[in-house]
Amino acid sequence: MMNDKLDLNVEQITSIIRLTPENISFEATPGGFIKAKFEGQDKGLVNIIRTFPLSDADRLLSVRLADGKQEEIGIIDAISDFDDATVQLLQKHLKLRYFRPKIQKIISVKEQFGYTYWTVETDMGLVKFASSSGSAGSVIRHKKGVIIKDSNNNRYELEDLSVLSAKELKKIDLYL
Amino acid sequence: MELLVTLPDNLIERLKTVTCEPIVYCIRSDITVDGAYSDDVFVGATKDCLFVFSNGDEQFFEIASLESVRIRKQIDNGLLTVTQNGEERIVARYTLKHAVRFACLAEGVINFVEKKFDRVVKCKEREKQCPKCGRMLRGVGKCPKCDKQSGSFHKMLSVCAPYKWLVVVIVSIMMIMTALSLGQQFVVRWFVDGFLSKGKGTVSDIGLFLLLYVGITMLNMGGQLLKNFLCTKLGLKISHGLRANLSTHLQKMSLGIMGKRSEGELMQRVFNDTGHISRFFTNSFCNVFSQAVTIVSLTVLMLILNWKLALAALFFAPFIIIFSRTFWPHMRKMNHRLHRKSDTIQNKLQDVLSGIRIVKTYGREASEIEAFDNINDDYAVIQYRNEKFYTTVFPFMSLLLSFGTYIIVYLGGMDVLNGEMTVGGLTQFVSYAGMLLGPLGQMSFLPRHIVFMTTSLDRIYDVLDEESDVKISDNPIRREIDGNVSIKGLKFGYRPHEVVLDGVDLEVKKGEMIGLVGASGTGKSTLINLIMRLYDVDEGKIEIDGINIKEYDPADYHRQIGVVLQETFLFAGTVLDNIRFANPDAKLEDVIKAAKVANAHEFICRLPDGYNTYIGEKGHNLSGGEKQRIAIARAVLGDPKILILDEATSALDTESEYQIQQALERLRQGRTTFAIAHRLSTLRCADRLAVIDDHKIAELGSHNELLERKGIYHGLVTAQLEMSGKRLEE
Repeated sequence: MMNDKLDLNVEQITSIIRLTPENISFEATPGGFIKAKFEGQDKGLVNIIRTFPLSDADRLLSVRLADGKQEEIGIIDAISDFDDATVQLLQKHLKLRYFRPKIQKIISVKEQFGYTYWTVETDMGLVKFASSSGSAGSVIRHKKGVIIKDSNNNRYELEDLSVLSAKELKKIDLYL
Repeated sequence: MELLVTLPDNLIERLKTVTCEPIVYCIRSDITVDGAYSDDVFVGATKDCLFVFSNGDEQFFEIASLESVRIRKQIDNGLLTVTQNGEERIVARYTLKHAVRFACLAEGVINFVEKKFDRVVKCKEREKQCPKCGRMLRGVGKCPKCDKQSGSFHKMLSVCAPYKWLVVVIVSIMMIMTALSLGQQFVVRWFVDGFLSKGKGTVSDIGLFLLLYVGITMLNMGGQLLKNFLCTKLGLKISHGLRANLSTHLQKMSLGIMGKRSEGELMQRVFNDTGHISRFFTNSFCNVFSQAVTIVSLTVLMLILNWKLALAALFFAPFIIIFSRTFWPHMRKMNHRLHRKSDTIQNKLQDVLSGIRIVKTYGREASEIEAFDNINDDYAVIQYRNEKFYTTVFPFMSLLLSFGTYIIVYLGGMDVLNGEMTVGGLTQFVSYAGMLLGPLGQMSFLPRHIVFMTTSLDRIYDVLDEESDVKISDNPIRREIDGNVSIKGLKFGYRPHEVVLDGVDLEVKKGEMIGLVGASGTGKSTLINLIMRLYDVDEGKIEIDGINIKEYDPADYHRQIGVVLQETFLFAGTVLDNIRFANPDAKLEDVIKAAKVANAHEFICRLPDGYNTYIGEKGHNLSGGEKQRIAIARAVLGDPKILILDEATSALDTESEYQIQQALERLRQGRTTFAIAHRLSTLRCADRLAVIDDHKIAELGSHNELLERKGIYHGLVTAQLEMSGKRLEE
């Protein structure tokens, strides 16, 4: 009897509720958030969480309540399963949730007093930041590029090192 | 941190059209809500208006119309939101650079919403960047660039002050050695011009020359040895003194201040930064400064002797400096890369060796060997490349240096042929040129060495200058406490924007046992840390026997507290040392009694050296339960009035837990006890249980009272019983 109960719990715990256009709908709020209706029930404000933000950013998205214990409603397999308007809405929400500017050009990299000072052009505009020179975790290799973490723990992504000019590569050579 | 930056004039004027109240908070953000970087985003508040200016857009919210103001943490950014008429609205966005400021702003505005206008939030967090130049402050409250020059020099002098006579002796030796080196070439000139050129002289003249030459060389060598010895002594004395000061200071710092810096950072300051200073005085001060003395003296002397040849020799100086400085960054990069690779190899090896059981269990030896080989190959390639560079560049550098000498030989040779210079004079000049150009390359690195040293010095003084935030009152109270604890309106957070406890009230009588219950991260251990006064409360107060905890002498108060934690920390030393930690003067009989109370005496007697058995990294291995019992014995020996048990038995097997429960039961008799346990059965002896949830005490009462209430505690007990296959009714 107890084993049956335990088995049931394990099954319940590991089961994944798939969210599809058939069982969930999203709506933008006037305040800039999104709310969800799951199986006809209003769930209020929700957050969309990337479960694999680095490797599969638009797959297996966890939809969770925005407040309280942030319980999971379910998981979206692929964002492309939804209609264009919903995809746009979800993408807008993800842009608001995740902020990791993509570096497009390295303007200067300078070391001073134990810090590396970067000036880079990103998809969000020009930014200057500092990373700790001594910290091994400041520049992390990721796929074909790197993720740079600054001293405030903000992260910047350089998607593909091969697109950098020889001059730019030389500037960051030491950190690769 | 600054929470009131100056708003541009045009925005001030605009704000005046909305409100007459003065600005109380004004902070910057670096991004707009769309995520675009901008220098033109200001968010702030007066007592009646929350305002946002963002890249030409503006928003004003009447404070009275707001239901709440909050921050919502996102990933690598955050949102400031307001709620009006039940609708939450995003008003500003920020990167992590401004996260603390926004949290403080939200807290400040909430006070206004709640009409607490006299409460103005101050941000305890320190600025990370220099407001003048934007450079990082690296835990150093002062900017390495803007604040360094005079301060660092002063610090260097104060560091050297206790050894001023040693410094005077070293500088004097440097002067004498320089004079000897220069004088030696006069001897050569005298010998060449007086005897060799004229083809006259006797064996005794040669003997006299050799005597003088060798004598000066020997004196120089002796001076060199003495100077090196004294410089090393100076460096070591200075670093030893700084290390001792740092270590003493660290022991006295509060956990709040310690928590701002990682263990690694503090270790780095104690070892690496003092090491930099030691190396500076041993190497740079000794060698580079003596070379600087040589260069200045030589330049003056050469200009006096023959200004034309002196200028010809100096002509190469800029080239050598440029050459050195061009290759320096490259060499540094190469070294850096090699070190990083070396770190990677070490980490990989350490990783594999630590997890060797897992590697073998999963049969992953081959892939681990391959991964290590790959890193090792990379390391070898970098090493080879570096060596190739050094073996190519340094001979080229020597060649460049010798060019200066060749030109002097050519120009000087012409002068000798024209009778304007003697052969001895030329010989002397050629030697001087070698002595001058050689150290120039190294001299160009002197500013860098000084910067390294002063940065390290700043980092050390940054810790030394820091005052503990757990202050000792002017007239600290030292008394034997009874153990009555009263907590009133307590509010606390480790960081300003992360409140852990808010509005906690609790009255505990002497000898009472309070069980603290709640989910992980709710603040149970924090409450205990505050009772132990490892931190000071932000608001409210804790009283011990009716006296504010801040009035007590911390050391005397801590002496009367006993602590048994989940992670038992035993110091490297004997069992006896560890039990006596709480009371170093305790008699051996008392130590045995304490061990008996802790159910530890039996197993200690079975250890090879009994109470003298060495435990620690290289000592005897103890099981978790044994370590825990030693920790309990340590607490018993201190005869505490307040006992803290933080998950003291959670990691133990049933038998050990039983023994330790027995020991704790004996230990807590007559003492005020605060116990945290996730396994609720552990708290069955507690007089009252406090359930901590949502930053405060959500439920308080005896086990039965709380069960009847059918609240959080009831839920926790039911869940635990279900896990063990029992029902509550049973």
